[in-house]
Amino acid sequence: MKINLSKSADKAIVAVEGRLDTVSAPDFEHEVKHLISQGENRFVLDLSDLEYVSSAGLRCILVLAKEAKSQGGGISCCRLQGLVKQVFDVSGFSSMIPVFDSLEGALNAM
Amino acid sequence: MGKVALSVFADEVFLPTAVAFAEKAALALGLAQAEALKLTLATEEVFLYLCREAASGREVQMSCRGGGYYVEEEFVFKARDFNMRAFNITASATFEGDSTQETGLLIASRTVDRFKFAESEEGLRLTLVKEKAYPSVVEIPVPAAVPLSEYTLRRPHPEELKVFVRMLAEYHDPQTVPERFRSPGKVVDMVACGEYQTAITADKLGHIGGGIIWRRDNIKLVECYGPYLMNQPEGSSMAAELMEHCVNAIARSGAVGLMDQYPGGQFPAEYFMPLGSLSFPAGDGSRRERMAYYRHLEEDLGNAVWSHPLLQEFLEREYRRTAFAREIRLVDDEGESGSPFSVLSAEFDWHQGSVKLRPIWWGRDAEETLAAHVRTLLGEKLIGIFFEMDLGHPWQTRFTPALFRTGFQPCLMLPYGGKGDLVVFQHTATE
Repeated sequence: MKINLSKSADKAIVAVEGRLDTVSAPDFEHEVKHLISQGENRFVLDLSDLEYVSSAGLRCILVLAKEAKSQGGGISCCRLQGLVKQVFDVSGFSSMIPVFDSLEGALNAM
Repeated sequence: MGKVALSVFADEVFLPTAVAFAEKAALALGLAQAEALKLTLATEEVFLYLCREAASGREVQMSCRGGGYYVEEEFVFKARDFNMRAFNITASATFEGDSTQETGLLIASRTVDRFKFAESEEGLRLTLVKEKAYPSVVEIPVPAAVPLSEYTLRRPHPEELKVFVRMLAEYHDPQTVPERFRSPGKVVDMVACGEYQTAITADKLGHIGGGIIWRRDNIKLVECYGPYLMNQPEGSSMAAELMEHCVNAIARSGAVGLMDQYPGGQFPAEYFMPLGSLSFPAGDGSRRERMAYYRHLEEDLGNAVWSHPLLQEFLEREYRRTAFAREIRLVDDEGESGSPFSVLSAEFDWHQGSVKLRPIWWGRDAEETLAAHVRTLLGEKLIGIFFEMDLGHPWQTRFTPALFRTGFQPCLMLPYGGKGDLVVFQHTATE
């Protein structure tokens, strides 16, 4: 898994590449919690290059969403592809976290 | 084709090993990257559940087997408890509290095409099946079917088989052709791996007039599909010739019977015993019956079947009518302990608008599970909801009272259709 960070106004864009699974989820959680500790609280997860997410990855996103919310912000996801989109849908995760087709849509809605 | 195996302890330190094993095996056995990734995901979720909940620290035997058009992955383990309720199509995910691990099992069950669960001497046996992805019927013109005055019966080569499959979709009602015969490439692989066999009729110019498909269901039964004729005159002997070709091909196989649940338009019924019918609504609002037929290949020496008392009358009537010698052994709930949760698998045929439920595990919530499935499936506008019970497995008969209470009625007995005879129930809302 690889994480690329960028900013758009007051929002942090976290682009996740590769696989978010049981092994990599703790690293992802650590990285985003570090951003929260530095004052970031609005996150857009760009998942266009994420090929795989397991329940461990979903649980990790949910933990971070709760933490961001407790800091007055939130998390949304965008540009889900293939298996990641299927996993979001079958698990009902799409109804728990705001999901957008485009990065612009996610940034504008937050 | 081929098989690879791994023996590993259910410890999270081995999770990357188990996941890599499944992914590499799936790719080596013929799945494309996208399908291999889905089986990999299912493996991660199941293995993690075994590590954290069901079999922590115990040995797990994993294997992957290629079946030509699918890869089958098996987990064999001795579990303290393995709660499969998340495998029900009615299950929903939760990310709170103790049920979070079940969300992983739910994801696993939704990313594979089929699953089985059974007890064996080695322990519990969970089997996941992921099929190759095939395009549905592609935009290639279907040849016009012409009446054939002279033809031969033969095994088709792969390109002819693909044409035959396209013609099936063009010339035959969806109710008479199973979903699995909708994709030409898949049928070619199913035949190439030896699971199915086919014969067609064709003239010297290669015009196809009809065909038949068959497979060995189990040690005692061969199931055939068709014969399917394309634009052949009424009274043609082609259907009977195709059926005789099939019977000759399986004559020395040791199978006891031949069954056909998908007879074509000119089915040679005179050689068969009618077993009964399933009912489907036609497009014009009327009902259409699809008959099932059986033919003895060898003398039936009789068998014993398990039955709940509520099913006894139906079975006695059917066995009397069809003259099958059966000893009915009654099974009833006598207060013994059982799992609190039941699990069903669901096989959809979207072209027909039907679904076949099969019991995977009996539990005390059987009625609630069945009722939830019916609610969900009727909400999907399915026009046929069926439940298949294998009378060779006594535990399956425990679903009988719940089936009657949730609106199912037995409508068909299929001899040797499983480990024992199968009984097909149909939900009355879709009769």
